[in-house]
Amino acid sequence: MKNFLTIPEEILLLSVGENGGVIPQDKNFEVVLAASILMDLAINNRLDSDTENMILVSNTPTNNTVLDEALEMIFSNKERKEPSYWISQLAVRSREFMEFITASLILKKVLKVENEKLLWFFSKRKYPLINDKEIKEVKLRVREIVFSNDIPDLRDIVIISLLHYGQLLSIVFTDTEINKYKSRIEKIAMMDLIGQAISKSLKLFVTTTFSSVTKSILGVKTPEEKLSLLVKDMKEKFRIADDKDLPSWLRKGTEQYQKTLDFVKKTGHTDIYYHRRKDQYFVQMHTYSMHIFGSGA
Amino acid sequence: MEIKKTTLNQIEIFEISGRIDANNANDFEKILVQSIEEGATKMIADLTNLEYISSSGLRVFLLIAKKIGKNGFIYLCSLQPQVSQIFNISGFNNIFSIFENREDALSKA
Repeated sequence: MKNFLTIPEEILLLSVGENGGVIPQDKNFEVVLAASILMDLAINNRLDSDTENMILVSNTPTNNTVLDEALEMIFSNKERKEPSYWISQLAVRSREFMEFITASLILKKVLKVENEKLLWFFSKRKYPLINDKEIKEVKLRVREIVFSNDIPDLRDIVIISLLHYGQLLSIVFTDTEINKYKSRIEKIAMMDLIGQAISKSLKLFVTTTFSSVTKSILGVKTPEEKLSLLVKDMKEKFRIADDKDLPSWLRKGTEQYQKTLDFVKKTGHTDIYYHRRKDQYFVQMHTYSMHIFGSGA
Repeated sequence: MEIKKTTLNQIEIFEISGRIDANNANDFEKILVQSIEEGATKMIADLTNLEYISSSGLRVFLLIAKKIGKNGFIYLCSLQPQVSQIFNISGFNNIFSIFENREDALSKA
């Protein structure tokens, strides 16, 4: 039976919380979301793994926009890469994926969209829950499996693994529960090989600190310098060593990079992301609500 | 992958040889699930000739263990070192009863 929600949708819902509201602010969320995409592809038999490699199995579309975008990215790359490479590549596009995921959750009538006027020229978009049944169900499932000695199913293993390695367990458990069931959580988290491989990579990302560059943007004057610092920040944040692995909107010398620079010049913002399908730039405010300013085309 | 099934004292014994990965995990699952649906509750997987198992293969074992639940068992025996290592890394050695050989598994059944 096909699940109502994908793993990235479940992770997003868990992070949004029962009170609903805005897209998660946790700094680890972007990489956890990226890892959840890979894990869903593994559950759906598009990827496999052993103790050493991530293996490409099938590029048959899943009919889910986020999963299929990721599938296309992975299969169009000729070189076999480590899970960590794909986490960074997917994490760079996490804002774009969050939009797809929230759109899907709205379509599934789990979330609704509300526009709240902030100032006369833009509005803040919020995503309250229509009902909390879905979140409660996921939380209950995860809690029950941790508190029991039952054999978890694959989906539970994947969710627990993501929460554990992404340091997001507090979304579902109290501190006392985390301490009490630490060993059980660790055992469950290691039960899936691809989960292990991805989660190990995840560990690398969540232990990275990346605030220095962001802070220094404030003191920079020119748009060119601001954009250079954004690129540096993204490389550090998502552990991208080589400029060729950057998306074109952040890769110097491309036509898209010039459009990014034009957008930075126009708006003065660098906390931005590019939505490839919409061919549009968005400014990401600290509330993690989305504010549309203009087209990159 | 090849699977040879025999029955002894209402225990279904599966001799699995070759590799279990994403290419054949579904077939492997179908065979075991069919046995459960036909009433099997006691199973032994003899892995003497299993050379390789990927994440997809492990998932089938997990699914079967969950399906059988407390109504029966699936014992594993005769794991090759490289397969045994994968079971240890994934912590499956804590979920499954693993025996040195088929005789030991049968004696505990």
